[in-house]
Amino acid sequence: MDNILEISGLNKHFGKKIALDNVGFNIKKGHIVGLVGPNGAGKSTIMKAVLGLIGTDSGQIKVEDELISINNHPALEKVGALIEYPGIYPYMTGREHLKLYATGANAESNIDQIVEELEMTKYIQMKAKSYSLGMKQKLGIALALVNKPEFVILDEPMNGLDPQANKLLRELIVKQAKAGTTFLISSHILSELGKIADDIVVIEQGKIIADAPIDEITHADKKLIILETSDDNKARQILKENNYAVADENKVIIQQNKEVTLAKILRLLVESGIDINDVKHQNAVLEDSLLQILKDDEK
Amino acid sequence: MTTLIKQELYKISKRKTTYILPIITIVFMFLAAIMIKNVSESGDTAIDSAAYFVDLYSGLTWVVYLMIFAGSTIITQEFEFGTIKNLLYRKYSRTEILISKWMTLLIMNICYFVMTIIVAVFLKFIFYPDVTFDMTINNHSLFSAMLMNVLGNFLVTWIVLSLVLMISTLFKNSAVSVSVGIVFYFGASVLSMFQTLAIQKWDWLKWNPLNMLNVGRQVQSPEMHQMTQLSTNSMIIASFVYIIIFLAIGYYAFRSRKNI
Repeated sequence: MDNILEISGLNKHFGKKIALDNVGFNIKKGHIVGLVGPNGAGKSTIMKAVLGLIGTDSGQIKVEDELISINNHPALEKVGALIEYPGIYPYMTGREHLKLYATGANAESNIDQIVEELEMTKYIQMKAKSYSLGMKQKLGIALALVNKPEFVILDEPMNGLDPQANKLLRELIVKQAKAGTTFLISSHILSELGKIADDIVVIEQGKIIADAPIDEITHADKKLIILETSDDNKARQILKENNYAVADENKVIIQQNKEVTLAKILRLLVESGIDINDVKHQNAVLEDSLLQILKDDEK
Repeated sequence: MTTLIKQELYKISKRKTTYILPIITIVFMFLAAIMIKNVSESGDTAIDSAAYFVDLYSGLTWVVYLMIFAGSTIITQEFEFGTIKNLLYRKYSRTEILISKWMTLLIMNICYFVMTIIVAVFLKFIFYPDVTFDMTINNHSLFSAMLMNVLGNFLVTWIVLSLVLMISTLFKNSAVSVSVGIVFYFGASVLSMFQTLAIQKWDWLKWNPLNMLNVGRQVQSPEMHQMTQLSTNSMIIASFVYIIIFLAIGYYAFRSRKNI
């Protein structure tokens, strides 16, 4: 079986509000999947449903081919998760939290390992009530990872983390994914997910509006040429007349590929009497393409 | 299930109140033993002094309060700290989670009883050396009278506790459940006079749960029957029925809660 998670036809109402609208997607084993969407889109709701924390109106969720419901979910044995904000007992130390949840023969060494990996050694013996937001967040992540789960669900894990901790976490996720762990990670910081995710699922107002490998969504293979000319309007017109696809924006933006090369474009414009003041190259980034997806969907 | 109970006990062992409250209880038992001795030294018989031991020098009442506190926090704290998600998303079912919490409370309850009994025996030897275990109270030896009182109190504790647990799962708020527990337990003694009159007028009122809180006293002194209008056996059975009803409502609410 290739998929560790299979979701189909999921619907959920909160009162009159539709939280999930026929949500369905699969996650392949060993993949890092980014769940992306604006706040209130339904990211946490999906994750909570997968973890058997909330009931749904219809649809089904399977983890390792076993159905998940709020009262029966033995398949979650090998799942680790951090949902919304870390649940922490203020009167216990970080290490005591890890001890509470760590299971199996290697519990102690697993605790030591995750504490070291997340660089929490300095404060792990302190009571959690003295922790900063970022420290609590790290502890929440450590709790999700301590038992070396096969499937990890992290809801906005970068929340409250400083850039250094952020980098540390990304590296840890990539390392564990290479070792075979599957990740479902939600975030509204798209660039963070773009750096690590294999696939992206985009959700808006409870609906999945895109579900594809990251390359397809980011068009990372597509390079843009951005020109500043003596007469941008005229340049755009000439390029269009010569069958180049030009974006309708203030600058002159052309997508580069094997047929469309910078040399050809420059020659055409110079021959038409237009001076080129500046040339820039840019890779299409996740934010732009995602915005495009969200925009397209509104139409 | 053993893992879950161990985890519950681990959490409880890390809380300061787990140690402070029993220490306060022991202090109050000491104070009660000293005060009773000083106030009643002149006219008291050995039997009166023995009765204080049977009540474990007020220790039994304190155990009820300790359990109200423990019961009101064991579920609501998980909601207040956001730890309920960590508890529920694992392989265990909600039924297992809730039962592990009940079992933990049962273990705590037994520990508190053992603690108060040991302290009371100690107090008896210090302050009441003339009270002996072979004395008889209501045709029972002192020790068995005390044990019966403990068992009666155990039923009372669990009537209050099951109500507290029910309120906890319904309202997710420890302040609400602890208040309801104390008011209910307190209400029984405050309203007992009024209740006796009301039961004389409307016979069916004898089945109300407040009346069941007298089961502890009636086990000891069967003449309480005139006040409660119920036989001791009926009271014991009715107490169990109330405990089961309250626990079942709490269980149902916890199991069917759709949004965590």
